[in-house]
Amino acid sequence: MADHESRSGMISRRRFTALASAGLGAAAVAGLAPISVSAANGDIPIGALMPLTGAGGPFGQNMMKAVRSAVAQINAAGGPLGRKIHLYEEDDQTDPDAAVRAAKKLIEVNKVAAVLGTWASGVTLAVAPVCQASKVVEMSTSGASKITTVQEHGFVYRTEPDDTLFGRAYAEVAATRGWKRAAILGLNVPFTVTTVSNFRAAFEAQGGTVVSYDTYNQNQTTFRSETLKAAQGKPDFILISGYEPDVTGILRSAYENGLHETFLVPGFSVSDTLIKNAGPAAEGLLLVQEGVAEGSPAYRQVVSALGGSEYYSFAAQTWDQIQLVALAIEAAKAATGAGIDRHLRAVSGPSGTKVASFAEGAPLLRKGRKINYEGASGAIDFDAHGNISMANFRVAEVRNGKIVPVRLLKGVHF
Amino acid sequence: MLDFLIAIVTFTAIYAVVSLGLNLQWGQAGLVNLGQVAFFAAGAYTAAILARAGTPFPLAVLAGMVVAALLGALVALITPRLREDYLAIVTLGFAELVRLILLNEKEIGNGPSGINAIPQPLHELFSANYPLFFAFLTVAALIVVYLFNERLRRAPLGRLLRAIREDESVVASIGKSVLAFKVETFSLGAAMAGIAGAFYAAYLTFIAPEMFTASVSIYVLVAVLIAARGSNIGTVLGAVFVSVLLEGTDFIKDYIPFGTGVQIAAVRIIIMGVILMLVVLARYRKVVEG
Repeated sequence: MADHESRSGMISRRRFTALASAGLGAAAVAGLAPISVSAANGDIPIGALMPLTGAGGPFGQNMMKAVRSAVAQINAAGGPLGRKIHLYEEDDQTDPDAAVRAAKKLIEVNKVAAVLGTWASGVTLAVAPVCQASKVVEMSTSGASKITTVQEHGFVYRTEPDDTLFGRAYAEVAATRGWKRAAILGLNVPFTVTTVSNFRAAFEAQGGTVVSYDTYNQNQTTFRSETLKAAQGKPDFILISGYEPDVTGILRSAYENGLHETFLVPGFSVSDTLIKNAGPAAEGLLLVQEGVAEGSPAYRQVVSALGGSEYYSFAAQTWDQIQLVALAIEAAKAATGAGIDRHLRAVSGPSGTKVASFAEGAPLLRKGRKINYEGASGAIDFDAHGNISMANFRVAEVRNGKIVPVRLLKGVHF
Repeated sequence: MLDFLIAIVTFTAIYAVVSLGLNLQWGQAGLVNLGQVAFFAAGAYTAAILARAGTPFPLAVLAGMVVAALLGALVALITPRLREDYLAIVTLGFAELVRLILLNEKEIGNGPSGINAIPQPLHELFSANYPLFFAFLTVAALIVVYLFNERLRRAPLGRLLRAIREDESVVASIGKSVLAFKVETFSLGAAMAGIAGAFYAAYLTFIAPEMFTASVSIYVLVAVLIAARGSNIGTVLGAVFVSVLLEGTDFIKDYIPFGTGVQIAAVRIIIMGVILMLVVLARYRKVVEG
């Protein structure tokens, strides 16, 4: 037996040395080309790290399209410092581990000055130390309040309203409807923790009672017991803090069990796919969506770039992110992460001449004037942390399989 | 590019240590463990919590190792009669249990928010060259674990473990306590995953439960499967292969002139899946046919 052991060991050793060296060779060849791409011309490398697959997939695809189209527009206007932006695209798979490796590739191989579009909070938190260590700006569309503690070390900016603001927006919806009893179902992810605690504080301050609060886990296949338990407390409405797959599951399970509850959910958990999958179970669903600057020229450009009729809140944010980064490069007169980090707040406003694009803002910056970028997703004025200090929300309802706007919540502050 | 390679070497070395642990359990002793990520997570969380409380790195690694080893011993003790597929199912379930505990018990590691700002050893000393220093540190750990495993493989214990793998009852019939050896092997293999976890936490400076899913167990399983059963050098090369597969496919899109980002992202995952399946298929036949 010992003999047999050593023999098979040797064969495999030889074979795998060959295999592994072939693999390493392939990686080396693969790695060489991007260097020549980025070094050959004077383009400014910018990274887009977005969820093209995984839970964020439905949003990431539009986010990427919006950035691409904005880059084309910025380059057509001459580009920052008269140089073209070269966009490097990476899929973060909505997975922190894969995202860290992709971010390392963007920073260390493609030498990007900024990484745009990290969507899931876990991804943003995992990528933040990588960006900070290399002095590269990270622009995120995540809401988790925990990110604020990371932002103390600079370089991390968010165009998404913080969960604190989401929690307050939910309470305001409840107040206008005269609701007093809330049941809460929360997916066990970072944003739920702060959303729920802020909702609870605001809701109880206006005389409401939280009758039940239960958390559930990702990839759960049935939500029967959670849904039934939430309905038991006879709430005026059930708040779900979750993503699309679980919100769909809860809606269906309520429908299957003949419950007639009113559900309030975040806008980022509802796409057309949910309405299709949940069918009649989605009727009457109330959404609180992160606002966009509807009617603004910038948002109209986002809509025409994507060519659809959805409510493109994340795509609008990434559109704004690349415009802001291009303006900050122009203001800094340097295409470096440190330069962008120093000037991002100033170009975001609120003081200075209002501009809606890089093309409008760049000439003013060259004349030494101050500008205030107001984009597709809103006014975007970064505070000391790098968060938007004020956010707009839109309340909408699902009626006859369509998302119909109900009203706007303007200027929700920290 | 060099910096990127340094990052990949660090990741590979970390996963190779986890794989060596599994190679000891599965390759040597035939104990199928689909839950190696549980011990990896245990090491990462223990070391992260201690490091944040001011414990020096070597002690944090040691603690991560001990906690992982104790968990490994626990799993071996509750599964004395399980073999092959059944042991695989239990260990897979155990790993999911550990992940759910980390997710739901907020007192341990902030639940879904995870632990951030994990201190890195000797960070002030190296500043700009830190990634290189950490890569050396990780590779050094890999070498130590590798030499330990090689020593063990050649020792009487290694022979005994392979005998258990081939036929448990023969080993029992000559008066050896099979359970005692299983517990020892399982906790040793788990301890190695614990060491790797401690390095992983210090390297990323942020950990969260969603990082410790079954896919980690599967990657290390493939690394071990690539190697001839029990071969340590094969396992390390297997880990290199998996790493090249995960990273190398990311560069494919720089060469594909067609397709949208989404299509290429999907193609990449398909390619990864197909290669993994082919490798497993080819190697499994090899292992079964002997």
